[in-house]
Amino acid sequence: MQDRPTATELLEAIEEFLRDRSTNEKDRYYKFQFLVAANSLAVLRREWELEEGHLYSEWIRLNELLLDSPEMPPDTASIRQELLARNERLCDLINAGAFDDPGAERALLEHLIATARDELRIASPQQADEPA
Amino acid sequence: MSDDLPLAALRAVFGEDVRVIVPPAPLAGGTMHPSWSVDIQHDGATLPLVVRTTPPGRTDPDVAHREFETINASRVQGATAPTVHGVGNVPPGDAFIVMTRVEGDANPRPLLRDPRFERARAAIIPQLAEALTRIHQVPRDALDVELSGPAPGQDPILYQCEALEAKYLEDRLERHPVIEWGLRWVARRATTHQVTPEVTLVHGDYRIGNVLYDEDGLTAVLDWEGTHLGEPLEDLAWFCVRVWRFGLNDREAGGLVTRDEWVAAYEAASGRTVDWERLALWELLMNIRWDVIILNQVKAHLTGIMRSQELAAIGRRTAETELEILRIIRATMDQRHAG
Repeated sequence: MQDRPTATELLEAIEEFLRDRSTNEKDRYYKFQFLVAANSLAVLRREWELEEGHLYSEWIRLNELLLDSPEMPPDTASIRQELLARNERLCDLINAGAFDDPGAERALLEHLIATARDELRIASPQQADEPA
Repeated sequence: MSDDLPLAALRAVFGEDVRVIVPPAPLAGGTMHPSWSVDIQHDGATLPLVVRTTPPGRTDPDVAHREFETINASRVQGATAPTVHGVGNVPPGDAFIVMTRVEGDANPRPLLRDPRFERARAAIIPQLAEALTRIHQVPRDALDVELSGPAPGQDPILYQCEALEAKYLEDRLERHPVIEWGLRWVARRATTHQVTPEVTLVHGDYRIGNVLYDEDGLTAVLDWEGTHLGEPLEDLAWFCVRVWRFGLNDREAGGLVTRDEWVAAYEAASGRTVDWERLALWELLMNIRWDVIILNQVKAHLTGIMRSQELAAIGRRTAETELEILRIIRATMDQRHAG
């Protein structure tokens, strides 16, 4: 167990530093680069907090589309790995026409929208709940 | 960025004894195409120039020559574009193009938000529609250059689906269900269309950020390296892609006006009638195109072609793009059920 600050708190500290640098920077190039760096750290911070829940939801939704329900691995790294493989299967099914009819089309649409929204909750939260 | 590159380009175009008055200064933006502003002495006068380069391995070798030809042919038609002085390659293989530096700003932000540019905002949409019309009117035989495009009789949408799929297969680091489904979705609907669309020269990168403006509106159309043969609607749709709205998402056309107003301006300028169903397919496809460009930029960073934290960060913009693709699919589905 690490002492304080927590990983999130450390990320926050660097993010604040970079944001401050960006605000006070005169050069347009560096102003932008500092801002990009601060934003990337904010993405990391949110990923740290939210990723596990998102992986779980994506797994459960894929069970319905792929018509199977394999056991979820115990650790996050393996879940990620397995999800890559399950998304490959989803793509293969899409290309084989498994989601061409209107009902299946809708189910696929809802799943993909939910996945994109979860990604946005990490990448760009203000866009996550815009209408789709 | 080193000054050697722009100076080598200037020597290649104007000769070894070219007289530089104001040395090359890097221009902001253009992560993939480093550019410099520079002034030289030429025929007894000061010539303000821009030198834009493309690192080796990032593009096909003909790009600069194609740009040279299409800019000149479009200028003959009356499109607003800078004079091109020369194109070529310099060691270690960077492609370059040397153009007159036109007054104006390309930065989207002031154009979209600054009170100083209120007049420009009102003027620029009809100007952009007019310039685009001129590009679409370039006669095919005026171009002494190979242009990619659909095979005779091939639907330009299907051609673009194939081209994007090839790029996706080359650049993907993992499978993207939204891209694969989106391409399938567009291709299946395009094949049910009975129309044979007109194929013209298309600019290929016509959007806010690639045009120069001043207080009166448009001063020049830039970034001609993507010109090819295609359906005019492709340019209209690319202009509406979400990323080019720069956050002003209720004005679908470049954050400036609604999609309806943009299409009306183009119809008025060109005398053409826009097929809305095909435009929706094109807009979907053009958002996929941006998604695939993101993959390409992340790959450029990860493989070391161009290490850049900015390119790395762009990778996470797939989500907003894919949500937009799904938005267009849903709108099309709902319309079909309503109709």
